[in-house]
Order: sequence, then C-alpha cells, then structure tokens
Amino acid sequence: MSPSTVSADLVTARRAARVKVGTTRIAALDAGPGRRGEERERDLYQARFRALVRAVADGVWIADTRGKIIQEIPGWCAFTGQSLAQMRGDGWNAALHPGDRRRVLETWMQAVRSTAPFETEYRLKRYDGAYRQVWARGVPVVAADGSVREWLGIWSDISERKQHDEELGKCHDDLARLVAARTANFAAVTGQLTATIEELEAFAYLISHDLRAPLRAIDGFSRILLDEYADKLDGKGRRLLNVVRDSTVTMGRLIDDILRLSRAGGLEMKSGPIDMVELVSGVLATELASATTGRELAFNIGTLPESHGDAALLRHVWLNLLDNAIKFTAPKPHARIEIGATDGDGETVYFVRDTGVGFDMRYADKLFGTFQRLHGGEFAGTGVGLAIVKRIVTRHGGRVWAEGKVGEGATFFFALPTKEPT
Amino acid sequence: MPDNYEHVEPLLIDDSETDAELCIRTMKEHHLANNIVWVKDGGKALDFLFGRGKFAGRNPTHPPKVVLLDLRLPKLGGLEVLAQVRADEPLKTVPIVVLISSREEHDVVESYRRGANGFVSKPVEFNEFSEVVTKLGLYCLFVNKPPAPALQVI
Repeated sequence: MSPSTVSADLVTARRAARVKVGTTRIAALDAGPGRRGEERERDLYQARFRALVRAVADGVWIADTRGKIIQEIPGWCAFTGQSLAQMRGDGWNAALHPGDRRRVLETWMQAVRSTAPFETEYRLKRYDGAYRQVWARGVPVVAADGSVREWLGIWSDISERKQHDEELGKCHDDLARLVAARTANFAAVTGQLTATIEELEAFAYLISHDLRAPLRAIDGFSRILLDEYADKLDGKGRRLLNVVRDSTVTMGRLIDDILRLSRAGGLEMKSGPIDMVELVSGVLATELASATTGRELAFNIGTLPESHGDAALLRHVWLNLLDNAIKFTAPKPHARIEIGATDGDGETVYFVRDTGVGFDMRYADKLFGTFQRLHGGEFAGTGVGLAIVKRIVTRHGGRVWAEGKVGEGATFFFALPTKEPT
Repeated sequence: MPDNYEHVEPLLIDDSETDAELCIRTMKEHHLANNIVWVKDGGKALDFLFGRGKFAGRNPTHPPKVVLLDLRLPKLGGLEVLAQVRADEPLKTVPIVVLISSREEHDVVESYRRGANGFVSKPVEFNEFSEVVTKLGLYCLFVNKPPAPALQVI
C-alpha cells in the first residue's frame, strides 16, 4: 500500500460515510462551513481512521522515523500478551524472533534510507510463547515539504497461510516426485520394450537364416534327385518327390514372410508425405501386373487423399490388400475391385472392396492374426500378409478392419490419422 | 604341400556341407572351374590365403582366381576374413564374391564397404554366378574341359 493508495482509501471511506463500518456509526456528516465545521471535519477523519483500522483484518502500526511505535497497535497486546508500556518500550524487538532481528532491522534501515515502502516477514512471539509467522508492510507518511513524518503500516499473522503454502508445496513436490518416478519407470519400460523388439527382430532374422539353410539342401538335393534319377522312379515316386519340392517352395515363402513381419514391426520408420495414387498405380503396374493379365477384372480407383508415413511400408499395405483382392476374385468371372477413401473423424479411411469369394463375418477378428487363414489350399498364402498390414497400419497410428459376406465379396479398410503424428 | 594348391581357381569358404556340395556340383556341371578348394571356416581360409599354419609354404602371391565367401562362418566371420584379405598387399586385388542367404541390405552394404566385388545368393545357381563372374571379367574361370584334379576339401 503506497501513500497515495492510503489517501485514496480515505476518499473512498468518505464517500461511503453512511455505511456502517464494523460497529462504529459515523454520525457527523453534513459539516457546515466555518471553524466549528473544521473541527467536525477533523473529528470525522479521526473516527473514520479508527473505523478503517478496525475494518482491516490486519493490525495497523504507526512508528516514528526511528522506528519507535508511537500509537497503540490494536490487537498487539492481545497477540503478544505484552502490556501497553512494554509495547511502547522495546515490545516489538522483544517479541521478534532473535534469528530474524538482524535481517528485519536491515530491511527497515534500507527503507528509511530510501524512504520507500517495505515489506518483510518474521517470526513474532505470541502470548503463549509460540512463534507465529508474521507479514508486515510499511509506507512512509510524507509531509508537504517531502520529509518523512512517520511510518504507517499493517501487519498480519500469516502462519496458517504459510502452512497451507508449505503443504501445497509439499503436495507439489510429492506430485513432481511421482511424475518423475513414473517418467523414469516409463523410460525404463520403453527401454526394455525397445530391447525386446530388437531381440525379436534379431531372432526372426536368425531363424529365417537358419531355416533357410536346411531348406536349400532339401530343395537342391530333391531337384538333383528329380533331374538325375527320374528314370529310376515310377510315377508315384516322382509325385512324392514333387510334393517335397512344392513344400520347400511354401516353406521358403513362409520364411520370407516371417522376416518381412519382423521388419514391419521394426524400429526404423521413415516419414514423409505419401501420394496414395502413386502407390496404388505403382503396385498394380509392377508386382501385380502378372496376376491381373488374362483376367476379366474391372478396377475402379476413386479419389485417394495424400497421407503421411513410411512410403515403403504403406506400399506394402496396398500390395497385400490388392493382392488379396485379385486372388480372392479369381473364381468369379466378372470381378470388380474398388479402391477408394472416405473422410473419417481425424482420419482418412482407405478401402479395397472386391466382389470375390468373401468371408464369414464370424471370423472377421481372425483375419489380421498371424498365420490365420480363412481359406484353405485353393488360395495360395501363408496367413502372414494381413498381419503385416495390421502391424504397419498400427505403427502409423491407424487401425484396420474388414467387412465381408461369403460369396459376395469383402472390403478391407485401413484408417490413417490425417495429422502427422508428433 | 601339394603342388596344385598353387593354382587354385575358386576358393570356396562355407561351413555348410550341403550348400558347398550344391555349389561345387553346379560349378562342375558347367565346367566353371578347375581345382576348387573348399575350406569350412574363416581361420582356415586365412591360413590358406596367407600360406601359414596347415598351409605353411603355400605361396601367398599365387592367390585363387576367385574367392567365394559365406558371411556366416564359425570362429572367424566372413566380414572379418574380407577385412584381413583386403588389408594385405598381394591379396588386395583377389576377386571376392560373397555368398548371401537373403538380400539383407545390411550384409550387402557392409560387404561392399569391406571390399567385396560381388554377390551371389544361395543356393548358387549357374545363371546368377556366371553373370557375376562375367561382370567381374573372370572369363578364365570358364573352362572347356572337365576339371583335371578332383575337389579338395580341407
């Protein structure tokens, strides 16, 4: 509170003169002109000042320029248990906690030197001997010539607020500690997870290598057997040998898929804008070109909004879904494959719809599982393709699902977030 | 020290007996090479190339015409063999074709970095192998007569 605010408050008090302040009723209002009027005015100011002192919850103090209390501090004696004489003597200094004396004195001296308002906190001994945390603020009362006449201030027992602050601070610290602990735990778990993923990848890599070695032998030697000993085998023997050879091809594909699946979940993922139209047309023109030749197959490609992610991985998603659509429409004479997209809530939903053999919705949840196959031997496949699709889309923050009906076709959806994940 | 160690054409370094047998068979079928030597681990391969240990006395300045190197070898790995061979003056220029069991980008990049000349995926097929050999200019490996001495497995 600066001197100017003090006087402003007095003005406000004057305007509100009819208001009942505490229990003090201010009667002398319409002071007339003249000497008697001036006296009345002075009485009014004094009454108003006393009312103000009672109105503020804090104690008010007035000290001379040497720091000596020159007027009774309301509530002081009750608070400290001191007598009026003690208060006027060294009461303030006596109640002040010895450990705070030097600091508070320095603050006071500094305020006196600069004649600037000051604020300080210290411990004050209560009547029961307990030290209470007190906050005090003082402002100089300046005379017309600019000299400091006296100091006026307020003081307040802030122990409870202080305690609340401390409790709040403690809560805050506890929370911060908890958050730090959780974060550390999270980092540890993430680290373990990363290590596990790396281990799994290394494992898949090793498996694919180690499985390939004996497979090469089965493949190579069975071929030699067919090439060089075919005349020594009868038709039945040659058929059996061909079963062996076909199985090695299937197993080779399985191993490739395991390796691909492990890579689809790998840690490294490049990110950039994706032209979905380019991906789809690219896949159809290259990998899938031979699968569509000689087929009466109508492609209907709708608008495909751009997306964001790993181009190579998302290309694989399209390759798998389109390969499936082409594969499962094979038994139908006039098949149609529709490729499109719709806007979802914060995501773009891409889909591949076909008029192929479809599937039973009861098994829809099995579609994206590893090594899960709904169709038997009539369609080639290892049951890993859609698992890879799911893994790639999930890694992009998206989701996959499918709808279908036996004999009528299937629609495979994948939704990608429209915003680039941060 | 057999005399024909000095005129080895392909040196095959592979620990898999079945892979090696298929590889050697393919090469013999196509009269691709004379005097193949097959070693089963990286340590033996370096002993052979540097003429030491069991091969002490072999002249290291007569390197094989081509080295077929599998990367996954017991004891000393293929990449380490590659590095040591490339660090040696007379062996620096010997053509090394790495045998890989899948197109693992990492293996390919790392092998090139250490000085491999080419790659052939397993199982070694004649077409792919002859393509690489032709690319490397190793026409001398194509012979019109059947291999003179039999395969030497060490």
